Amino acid sequence: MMSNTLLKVRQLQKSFGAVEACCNINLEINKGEIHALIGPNGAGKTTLIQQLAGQMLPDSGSIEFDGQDITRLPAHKRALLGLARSFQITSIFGQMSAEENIALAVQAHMGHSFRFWRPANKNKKLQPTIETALEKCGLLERRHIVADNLSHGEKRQLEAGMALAVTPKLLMLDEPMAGMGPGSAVKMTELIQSIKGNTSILLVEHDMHAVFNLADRITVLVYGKPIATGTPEEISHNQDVRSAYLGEGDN
Amino acid sequence: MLLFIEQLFNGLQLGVMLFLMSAGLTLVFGIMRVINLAHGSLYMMGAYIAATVVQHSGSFILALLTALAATALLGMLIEVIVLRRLYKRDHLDQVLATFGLILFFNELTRIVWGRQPLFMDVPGWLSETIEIIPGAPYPSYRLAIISVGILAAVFLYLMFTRTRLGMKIRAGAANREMVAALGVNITLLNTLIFGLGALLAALAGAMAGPILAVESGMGESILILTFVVIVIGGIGSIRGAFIGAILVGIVETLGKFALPLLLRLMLPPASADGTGASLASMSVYILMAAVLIWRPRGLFPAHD
Amino acid sequence: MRFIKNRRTLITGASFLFFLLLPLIASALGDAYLVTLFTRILIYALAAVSLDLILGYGGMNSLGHTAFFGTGAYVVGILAFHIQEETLFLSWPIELSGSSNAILVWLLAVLFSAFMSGLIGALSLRTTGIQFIMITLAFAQMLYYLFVSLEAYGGDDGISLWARNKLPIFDTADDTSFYYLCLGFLVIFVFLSYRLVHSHFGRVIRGAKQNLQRMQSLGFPIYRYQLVCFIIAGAGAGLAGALMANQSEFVSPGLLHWTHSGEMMIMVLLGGMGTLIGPILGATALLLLEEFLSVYTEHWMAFLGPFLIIVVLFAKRGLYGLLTGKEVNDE
Repeated sequence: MMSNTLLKVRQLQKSFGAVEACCNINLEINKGEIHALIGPNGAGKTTLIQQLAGQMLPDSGSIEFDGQDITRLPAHKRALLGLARSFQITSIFGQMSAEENIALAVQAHMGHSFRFWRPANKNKKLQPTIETALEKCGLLERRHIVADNLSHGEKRQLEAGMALAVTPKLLMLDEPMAGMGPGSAVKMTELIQSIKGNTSILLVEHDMHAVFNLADRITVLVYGKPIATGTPEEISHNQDVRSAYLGEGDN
Repeated sequence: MLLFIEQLFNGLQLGVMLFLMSAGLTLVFGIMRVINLAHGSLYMMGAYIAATVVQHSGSFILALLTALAATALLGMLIEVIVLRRLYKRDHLDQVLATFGLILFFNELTRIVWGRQPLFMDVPGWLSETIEIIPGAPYPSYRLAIISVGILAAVFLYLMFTRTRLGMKIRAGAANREMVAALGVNITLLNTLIFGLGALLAALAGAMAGPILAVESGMGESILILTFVVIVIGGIGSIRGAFIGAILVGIVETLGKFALPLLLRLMLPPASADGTGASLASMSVYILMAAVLIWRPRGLFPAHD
Repeated sequence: MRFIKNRRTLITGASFLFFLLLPLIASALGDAYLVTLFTRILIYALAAVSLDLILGYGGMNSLGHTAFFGTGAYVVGILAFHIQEETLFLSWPIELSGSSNAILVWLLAVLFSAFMSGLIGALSLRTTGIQFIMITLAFAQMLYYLFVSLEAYGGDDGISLWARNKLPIFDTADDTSFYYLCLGFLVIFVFLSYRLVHSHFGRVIRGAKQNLQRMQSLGFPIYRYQLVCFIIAGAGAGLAGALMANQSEFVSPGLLHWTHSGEMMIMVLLGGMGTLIGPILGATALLLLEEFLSVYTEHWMAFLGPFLIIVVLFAKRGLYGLLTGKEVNDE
């Protein structure tokens, strides 16, 4: 198969009672691209990510990842196929050190963890991968700090580091820059840029400056419906998008 | 057959008792996300207060009203002193602190009322039997319990579907953030809901007084059955509590009656009775396990 | 940092030394009851450590732990019963008699408790949060009623054992020997648990406590890990139960009563959750407190209840945390 498509979403539908959170979403993400997902609050971005990651099942439609139908696959199996995500609200293991957080991510992909005897922190096999990931996310010096005691920006870096540690095929970043100061946001932009290539990225972000800088293609979601997909250039000139979304943003 | 119908009514009677218990508990779970093991203690206090007032005044109605009012106040007091501090804590803290409340109340009743169980007479005007169908006499007191329970269910239903306060509470049980958005004084609302739950528990306890022995620790066996009801019905759902309660009441009662009889068809009488008794004592838990396999979040889950 | 570490070692070493020397202290004081009391403390400590594996490390708030404690005790009781009555435990499909061989009986107690916790855990772990608490409690209560209804094995009254299970060479009937046996089991179990919580498996379990959803999104089939942890804890409680049946030479459904689960939880909380030494200190403190208070008043529970509430609200670090200055769960 020479297909260039990594993720193919077809006719995805999800409603909560009378509210349609996703209606008829079609989406394709190519190998190696950064695909941004933008839209006003409540457009259904996080709901879509949750369905892609397997934390929520769609009412109908299909999700194909790397040539395999994963619509009904449980979350942990999707993760093992190379689908990693970070969370909108920082989701780390607060009482473990930064290093242990990364180690858990690595451990998940090293076969089963039914190892009861040998101390986990003395495992030499995991160490190089852990160190690379710590370096990538810029926390090598802060590796022994308990995660709860890291700054907000560092927590976001750690979160991304955990997703990156296992070189996923698709990385879904849910508002990685939310609540970050300008300095940290620049760091995060650099981090995202550095992973581009081997890993495709689905980026949900409100920081339009970052989105238009980073993304190869952008999909605009309004009220659970994609109204346009295209390059940043195309999107910024798209009349529908301007009236439905970007126009509003100016107010 | 007549015996069967009588047992069915007994099941119904246990069912409405369980409903009174679980309605309050499921609301407290749903809205405050707090697990209150001491709910059974409120049931016990209701029974003790009612039994004491009956002994001194001879009036069952007065006893019932006193028990309801006093226990509701007690419930609100507990909410203000202890429970309120636990809303933001994890469930384990809630379990341990309310377990402490149980230990305290069980011992309190022993100090105040002694170790001997109290017995409460069925009120004179309810001591007759009524023929529910020709040839099947049934104690009118138990029928009264069933009626009161159903009235309470109707009352709760009307309250939650017809009044503004009720709708707010129900919205809160399904979605906690909602209540805040509706502009309600949450602190007061929590206390009131807790009082309502205590009142319903006292109603069940006071009415159970003439049927059961009023004794220390009497709240715990019904508490655990109430948990089974809530697991089956789904947390936070009044409808689930009602259907779960009736189901558990009937299975529990009929199981004890019918299983030994059924097994007698297959086994020698002695071992049929033994096995039947064992199976019957497990029947509601087996029911719970079955529901759990089929629907892990209960029949009518109120939350996502 | 170094200081804390030393204090931890100090507490652990001091407790071990104390337990090691206790029979000598008891005989110096001429108080034989102390040995019996501290044997019970050791056994409850074992049960509490096993509970802490799921409670403090795994974040599985089980209110049914005594089910496995009671199961272990009943395995001992039932097998002894058939020896005493000279009847067969099983006549079909194969003939099995009772047994008083400690190695065999205790092994069976551990295996059967593990089996039961596998069964109950497999169902209960389909849920989380409040439901998990209620369901574990309900299943434990189911076993309680089951044993109450077993008229053949004494029903409510339980089974009295004529003697303790027998070991080759070792004299289990002697209270001091039995004390050291229990101490030995506790030390082994704590050591195994120590390896466990620091292993890869332990890291997964601790991760699941802190953030279940994140574990799944990392790729862990977390249900399996939690179930295995639940089974290990159940096996530990089963061993404690088997020892308890031998210590008191009596088993009854009372062992499975849910308040017993509550007491085990109190021990863990009192001593310090998410530590291995804490539950031992907690078991010691609670049982000594009971002994002490019941001398002064028969209504000591009226004091224990409010005391417990105060500990929950204001002193969550537990005794171990107080002694070492260590925050709970920062291992």
